[in-house]
Amino acid sequence: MHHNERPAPPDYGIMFNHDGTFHGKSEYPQQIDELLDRIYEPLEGTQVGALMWCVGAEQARWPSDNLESVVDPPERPYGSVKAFRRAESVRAMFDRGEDLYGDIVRRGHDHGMEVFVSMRMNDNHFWSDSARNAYPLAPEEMADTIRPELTQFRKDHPEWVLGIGNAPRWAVTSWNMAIAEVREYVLLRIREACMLADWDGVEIDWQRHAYHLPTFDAYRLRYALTDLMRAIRRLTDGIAQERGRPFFILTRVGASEETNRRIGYDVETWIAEGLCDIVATNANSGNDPGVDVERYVEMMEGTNVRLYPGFDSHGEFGRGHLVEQSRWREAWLRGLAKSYYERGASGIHTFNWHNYAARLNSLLTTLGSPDTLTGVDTIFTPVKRHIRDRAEIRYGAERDDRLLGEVPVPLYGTLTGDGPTFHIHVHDDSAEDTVAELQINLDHFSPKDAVSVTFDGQLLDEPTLRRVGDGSVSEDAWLVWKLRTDQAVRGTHEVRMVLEQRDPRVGVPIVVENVELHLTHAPKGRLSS
Amino acid sequence: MNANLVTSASRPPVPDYRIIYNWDGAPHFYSEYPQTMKQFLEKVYDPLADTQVDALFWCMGTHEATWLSDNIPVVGDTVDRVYGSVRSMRDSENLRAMLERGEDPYSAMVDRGRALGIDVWTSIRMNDQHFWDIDRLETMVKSNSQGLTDMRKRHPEWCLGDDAPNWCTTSWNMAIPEVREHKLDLIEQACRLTDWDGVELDWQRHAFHLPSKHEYRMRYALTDLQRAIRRMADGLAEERGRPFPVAVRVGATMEACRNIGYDIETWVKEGLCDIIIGGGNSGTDPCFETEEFLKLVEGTDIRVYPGYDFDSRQAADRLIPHSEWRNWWFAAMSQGHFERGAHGMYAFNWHANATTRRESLTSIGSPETLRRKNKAYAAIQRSIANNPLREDSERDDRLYGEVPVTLYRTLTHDGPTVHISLYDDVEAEGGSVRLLIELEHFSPTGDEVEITLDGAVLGAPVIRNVNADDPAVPESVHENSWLVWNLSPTQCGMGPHEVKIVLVKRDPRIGVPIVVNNVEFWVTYE
Repeated sequence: MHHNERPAPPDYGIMFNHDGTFHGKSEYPQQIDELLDRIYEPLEGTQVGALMWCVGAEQARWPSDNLESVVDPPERPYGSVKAFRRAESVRAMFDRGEDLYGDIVRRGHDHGMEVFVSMRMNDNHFWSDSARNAYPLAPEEMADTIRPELTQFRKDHPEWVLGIGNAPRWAVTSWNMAIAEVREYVLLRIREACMLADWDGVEIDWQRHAYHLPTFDAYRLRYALTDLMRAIRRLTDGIAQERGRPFFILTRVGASEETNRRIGYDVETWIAEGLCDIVATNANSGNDPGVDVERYVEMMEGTNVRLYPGFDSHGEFGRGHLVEQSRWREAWLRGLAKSYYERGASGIHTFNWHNYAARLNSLLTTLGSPDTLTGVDTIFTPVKRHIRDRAEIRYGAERDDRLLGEVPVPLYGTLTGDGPTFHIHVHDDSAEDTVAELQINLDHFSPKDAVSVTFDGQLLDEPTLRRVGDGSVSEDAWLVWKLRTDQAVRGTHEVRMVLEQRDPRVGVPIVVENVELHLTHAPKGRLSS
Repeated sequence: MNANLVTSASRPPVPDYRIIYNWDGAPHFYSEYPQTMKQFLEKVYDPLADTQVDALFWCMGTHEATWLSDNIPVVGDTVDRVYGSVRSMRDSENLRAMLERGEDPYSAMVDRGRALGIDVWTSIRMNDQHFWDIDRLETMVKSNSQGLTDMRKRHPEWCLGDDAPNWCTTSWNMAIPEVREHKLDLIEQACRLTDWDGVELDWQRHAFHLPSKHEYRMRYALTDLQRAIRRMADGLAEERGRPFPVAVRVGATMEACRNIGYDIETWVKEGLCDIIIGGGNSGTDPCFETEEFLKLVEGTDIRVYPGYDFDSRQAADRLIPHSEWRNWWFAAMSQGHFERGAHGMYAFNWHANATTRRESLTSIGSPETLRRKNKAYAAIQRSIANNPLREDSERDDRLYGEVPVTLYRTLTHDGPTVHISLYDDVEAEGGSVRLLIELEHFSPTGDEVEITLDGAVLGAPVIRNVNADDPAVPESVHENSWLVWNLSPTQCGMGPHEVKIVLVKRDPRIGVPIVVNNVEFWVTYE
């Protein structure tokens, strides 16, 4: 089927990914209605137009003749009560003859939502356990290791995983998708999952986790991932034809073209061949706000493919700023959503928000449309790229994320009176009563330090010095400037910071941790005091 | 902050050099000690005389001064003039002997260049790393390698350490202001040695300057040094009353430049260079984004040069000698770069004598001299060396390499697609074209592959191998086979072509996969 013959997916507003772990949220034996209430109640009255329900990472969460399944009688006792509840509640539902996935779909439809089955393409949560802190699991250790989702199939084939040297150390037991048998196995999982219920589509979640091919070979081996995408498209076309209505494919990939090239996602071919209907983006680890919206829109021109930039449950998610956490989070995500819509996105994808859905109601009722984002407070920032310490066990998790991050950056002296320049893209309008503030967070800042800051080439006056918490001393400080509203206009702004003098008593460099532009619109809540 | 800068508009454009030739300084050890000035100049210029080389970029050494300096150790000082090899002794002592005899090799070189019509620039390796066997800073402090200066040993905290591939542990961390000050001092001393025609800042030797994964956000540090050097060069130009242009050698792609920390966009915008050369950190990078660089310099006088380095990474069991293939390959790349708008070509580490590179050096400098030259248009090859001492040296090189690629079975009758553009009008010029695909571990009696060229399935190829073609070799078979097709002019017009390789059937007797090592179009003329 030519891709233009497939209808465009509906406008979903927000597409909400659920990792499917709510089986462990109730005491055994969980009842289906209890599960459904837990899933859908927080989404009621929100802009969530589609739920993507994850049906497990590696073991099938359904009875299967071909796959290792949580429904199979366990060979040994579970390692935790949580693992017991998660598996046995599902098993009990099937033992009772209930239609778990059919009910999830029906309840979603009752709420006016479409429901997709979500497939994690290379989830790796068996890389370690809480008792193991030195090295993640190695391929040769798999055979003697018992861990949830570490299947016998994988143990039998250590030669089919990426191996040491071909991925960050913690991901070396991830599948090597170049191997034909791996692709066949993944396709089989997806086929069985797609047949479980009358889903509205399938989410192919390549970003969980984003290590599929040997590191330096990913670009040239991209044909292997395209092969699997094409096979999945053929599968869903078949289902669509049988049932007489579309079976959509959402694919979750990296935020930027560079990220996709590094990982091996040939998204341009996927769009050109019509191998997906929706592209959602995000990082392997956390939020990646550096979405190449314009490039995606360019690739999608003339097609029915839609773009949904994604929000994850960001590691910091708003902590450590001058503004209270939830207000910071709201203003930042709303600012990002506004920018995505303005640049051509169709909606927003959320990942790992299921545990906070009730708390995030104010976002789930506004992020789904540009119309509900008018007049809201916003925060715009350069991309922040946190790189975890080399000694951390998951070093490398951010390898392909937030590639053009401009903070945090150490502030060194220069020969030419220069320093780092930060780019802030503002996608909001200021009114007369809008309060605009530039806030810069410096780590290891001493009052004897002297820095100069220019905003769009204009040297700023002395800032107000503020600190998080009770305002007494701390290792970091915030420099705050009130801006005129005609300074903080829509468009790209450059903030340059130059170290004029460093306190000689401090032996570590200042680090510019955060650069933020806050727009607070009256009469809603003030972001600044 | 840039108020004192000469504006780019007030600097005249550099001359149009057909070929720029970078010499790494090796001619110092090409003659027995004590080398005479005459011998030295012959070694330098014999490869260049009567070629299309219009500019020589002469490398001034790496860490020690190759001149008498008040504050930088002179070559040989770091090992108290007791060397680890005869070659090292010749390299340092030949130069020192010249200086002790009161000779000025740099002025002599500039004079000889002028006589030959060749401009002569000084070339500075910004962060050369040949201490790659030292992968711990603790070891460096006690080490006695030539070039390992006291300054570096005293300041291990100024080196990249663990924040770089292991072989670059001891490379300078250019974020450190004192390192940038040191480099600026060294460069200024080199620039003042003689009446050079300009200075090349060779950032690609080697291309690890900032802590890994922090390069992009710390790019301001490299821009700072670049700007300081431009100011110094502008000062020199004013002093001597004629321009002192600046060339930069950077990554071949915008992505590589971002990854390494070169803010080329700012360098162009602020007019911090006059020539941009793109090259790999390790070996030739054919990915050079000619169009992107030209777009960047639009409206300026900055010139854009794709750079060629050594070609051993492209070595293969080909059906013609490598030295011949190499000429065809450089000719094809040059034809393409000229067609796409490049201003000239740049050669690095070619280590030529009077004859070895003459074919290329007399032809790749102009589209006219490339007409009807045999050419090899090849898929970009990104080999990853298995050398633990140079791990990640290709990290930012040949990023869009499509071969070698393992040929796995697929679910949808698919396989790798290789993209190659042809820039010869073969039909008009009366040439012929062959498509050649090298398959490693190919079993002609059991494997079946399907090849499509621009969507059309090709017929059965001729299967050849390097042994069968060589009467001196007893075997008529080889682990690698070449599939060869003679193409018609309609199959191989100018422009981009797609070659897809699909594994239809794998010989079950072979337990390793086929690897597509090379895909090439050979254009040949009678």
